Amino acid sequence: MTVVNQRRTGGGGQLQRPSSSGLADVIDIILDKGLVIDAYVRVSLVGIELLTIDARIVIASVDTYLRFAEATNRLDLYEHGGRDLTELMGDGVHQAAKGKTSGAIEGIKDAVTGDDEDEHEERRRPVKKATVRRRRREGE
Amino acid sequence: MTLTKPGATMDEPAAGSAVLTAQYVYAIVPAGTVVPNDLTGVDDGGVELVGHGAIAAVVGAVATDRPFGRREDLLAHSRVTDTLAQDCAVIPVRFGAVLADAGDVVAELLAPNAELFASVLAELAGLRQYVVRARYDEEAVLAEIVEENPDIAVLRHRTRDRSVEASWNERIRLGELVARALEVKRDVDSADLLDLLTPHAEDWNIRVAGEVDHLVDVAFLVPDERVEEFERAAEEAANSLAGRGRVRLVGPTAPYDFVPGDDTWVS
Repeated sequence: MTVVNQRRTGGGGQLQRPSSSGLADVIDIILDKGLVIDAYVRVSLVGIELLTIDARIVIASVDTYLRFAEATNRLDLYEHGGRDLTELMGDGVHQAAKGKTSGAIEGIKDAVTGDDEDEHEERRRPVKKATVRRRRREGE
Repeated sequence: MTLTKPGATMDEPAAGSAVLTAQYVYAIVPAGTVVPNDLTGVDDGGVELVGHGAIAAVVGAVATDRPFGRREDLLAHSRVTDTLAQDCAVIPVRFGAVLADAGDVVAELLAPNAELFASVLAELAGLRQYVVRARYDEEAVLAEIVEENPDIAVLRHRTRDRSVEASWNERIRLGELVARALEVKRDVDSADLLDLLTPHAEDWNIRVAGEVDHLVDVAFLVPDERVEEFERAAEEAANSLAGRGRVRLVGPTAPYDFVPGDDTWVS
């Protein structure tokens, strides 16, 4: 996704504050929120409704499960002694390994959202929102 | 309401090379709001007010004979609403609304909803929207999940050195269990985050989102005088997730998440 320039805030310094809004921060807000003026007017401009699904990802699919399985299998856990994994992941080992193993999620995003830098008009086929929105189930 | 068709108006109706234009609507603001001179909207066009009593629509002329929804269009919309939101109450309009001309803006949008929009603007005065986006560090959280779930550890061990084809069913099962475990983790961690932040906000709205590394996205409506304490709480949330995930704070922006729903006004 879009890499946004970030400045560290004071204090702990872990919080990311984008210095300007990139498309990734903007897209699901202005397409999914805000006052809705007449639906016919909205769709009268080519391409808009089609864009609204782009930020959505199918989660409960075989493909997703396989990616999770693959990402889980790639982990290099027990060779390092089992417990205290969180500590282990938080140090240099984690940093070194991050590049090669953070791929599963990005891969899914790329597959669905395409290239953020895409300057061309969007003509993707609309997908039913119900099938692509992940609904949080209560009690899980 | 009269439906607005693309190209319903023409600057020069008689000319063959006429540019088809419409009024693109960015937001509703209090009448008398000053639009910064250097603020540009879609197509780098000017931004102006169409007033009606105590309220005004922020609009700009756009050509309608081209595809809409490009990256620049989205960023321009966001730029206009968020710039205005720095200085006054704003009801941001969802991207992509056009009306035929300034007359329609008044007749179809402002006049029928004047009272409602005025009261919403009064309620939003002195409040800003911030969005907190928390994302997991996939590797760290998967490691926790394997550690905490013996079933998953066993399946991982069984499938790890076999081909995808030879371990297909077990892989699907593994992925499904991991996805579910992540869901549980998400509920716990997002509750912790909300506990830290909601005391400093007037209102909040949990977003529905689909990304798999998604922990939680929440929009907060924060009073001006509590912005500092809210930001400190966000830093605290980020620190408490350090090593397991990241927290981004986006804002202040126009209060997109806190505008009237479709059913409360005339459209």
